[in-house]
Amino acid sequence: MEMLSIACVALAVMTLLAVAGAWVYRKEWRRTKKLFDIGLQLNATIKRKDLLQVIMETASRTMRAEGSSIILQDETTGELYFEVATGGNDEQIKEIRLKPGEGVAGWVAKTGESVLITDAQKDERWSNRVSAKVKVPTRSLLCVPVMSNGKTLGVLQVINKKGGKPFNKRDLTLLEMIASPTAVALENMFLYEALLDSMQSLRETTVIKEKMESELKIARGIQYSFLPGHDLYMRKTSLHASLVPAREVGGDFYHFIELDERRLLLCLGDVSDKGMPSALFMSAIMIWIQAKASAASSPARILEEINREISQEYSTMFATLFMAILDTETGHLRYCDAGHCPPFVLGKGQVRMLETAKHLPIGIFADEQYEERDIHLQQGESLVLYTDGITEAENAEGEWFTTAKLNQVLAEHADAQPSEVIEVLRNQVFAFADGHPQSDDIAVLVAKYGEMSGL
Amino acid sequence: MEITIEEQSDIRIIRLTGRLDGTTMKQLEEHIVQLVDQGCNKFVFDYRNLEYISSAGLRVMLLSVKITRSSNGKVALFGMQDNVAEVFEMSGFFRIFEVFQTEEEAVAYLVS
Repeated sequence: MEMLSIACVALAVMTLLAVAGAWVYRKEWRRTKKLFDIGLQLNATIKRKDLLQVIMETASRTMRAEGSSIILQDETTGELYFEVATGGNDEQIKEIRLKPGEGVAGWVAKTGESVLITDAQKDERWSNRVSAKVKVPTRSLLCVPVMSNGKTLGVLQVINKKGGKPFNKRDLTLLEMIASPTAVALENMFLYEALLDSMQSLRETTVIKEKMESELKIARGIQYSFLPGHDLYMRKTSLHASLVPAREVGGDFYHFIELDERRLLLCLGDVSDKGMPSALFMSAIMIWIQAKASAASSPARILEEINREISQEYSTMFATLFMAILDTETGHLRYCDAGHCPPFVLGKGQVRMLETAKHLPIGIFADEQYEERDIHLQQGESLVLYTDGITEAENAEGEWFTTAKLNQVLAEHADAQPSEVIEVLRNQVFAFADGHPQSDDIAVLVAKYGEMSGL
Repeated sequence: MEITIEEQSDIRIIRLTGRLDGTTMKQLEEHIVQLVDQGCNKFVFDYRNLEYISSAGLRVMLLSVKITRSSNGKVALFGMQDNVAEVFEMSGFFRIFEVFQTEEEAVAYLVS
């Protein structure tokens, strides 16, 4: 009998334990499921406005609270801030900022510890400022830090448990559990916002860059519209010219003008700078050449007049320039050298440097006097004008093409047609640079006297 | 580019080491403008260690001439290396600079 009663008691205890176990298990399972659901809900959106709303709704519902707030920490100032609806139908949102450490939220963010307040009115940490602003009379509240990798993202707060009772320690534990998926969701939100920010700034930078590039492109277009073309055939003379611009807007230029039925003006030069200023200066020079060429009788007088127009007292912008007038019938060449690279004369398998009277570049002193020299080009001889974009073309080792190499290439093609000379020269320079970016414009002009086989 | 400046009574000796080009010209320009602001208008440029000069470099040198001219200042150069001399030759800049072999000659020219 006693045995039976012991067995009964044991059975009862075991049943009770089983029931209790099942209850505990079910409760644990419910809790796990609840947290799992919360995780899902919080991951449903990544956009700030929606996410903050979801967090607050989830916290309120799960905690059976009258209200909740998610308060974020400003990384730079350490201030806490949150948004509250100002009421009415216009859905206006107002941002409230708390000083670091202010109120319960500030305390939680600062210490990283959770807070349970059963009677807010009696707790000195409660900030009236917040209470007044959110317009909800606060009886009890829970506030937990929302942290990710040791960094405080903000705090999660619920107020006034429904049904009149204050929050208890078990509620606090539950809210702490909610804080963890909240942190993950907020981190995702911040990453998303950072991504949006960088996409936006990339978009803006691209717009600015494209605008600048298109302006430079337009400037270059205007600049090169002053160039006269590439070829000219006049009596016994054929001419070819080429300009290969560097990536940056440069200041190389050439010009040729038929002055009358026999005389041809040739010139080629280089402005002392790069970029927009040199492009403008070059354009001005091109216009002045056009304006002064027809009236003036000789290269030296033309240069003097242009120089007088463009020289300014305190400007250091200048252009080196070689200008010549060729009689296309007789080969008589009058020329003037304003500080430019020495031209070459080719013909009969030979190449020689043209002797010049050196003068200052144009644009330096308005009263500079220029004098000219003259020669007779023989049948089949060519005059080669170029800029230092050729002689100073660089390869990856930092070596230059050099005047010596230019001389050599020209000697090998001393009797070629102008377009052929230029093509060979360009190819040789590019082969030498071997992909190293071209830092300066390259301009070349070749005028060949005495044959018209180019036609 | 290294720039050192020495005082010798009312003369400033500007010693240049390295390359004077589009990237380094600004440095020298600032020094020159500053010296002129202080009332200096006699400059000797020590070119012995100047390895290279570009057309942008020539612009700063031109600045030194233009900026001192209005107050009857003088500029002298000395110790030019061959490749730098070539650039001065080709560009016609020899015409506006007094170029000497030695520092003594350059200074003597400014004192005279």
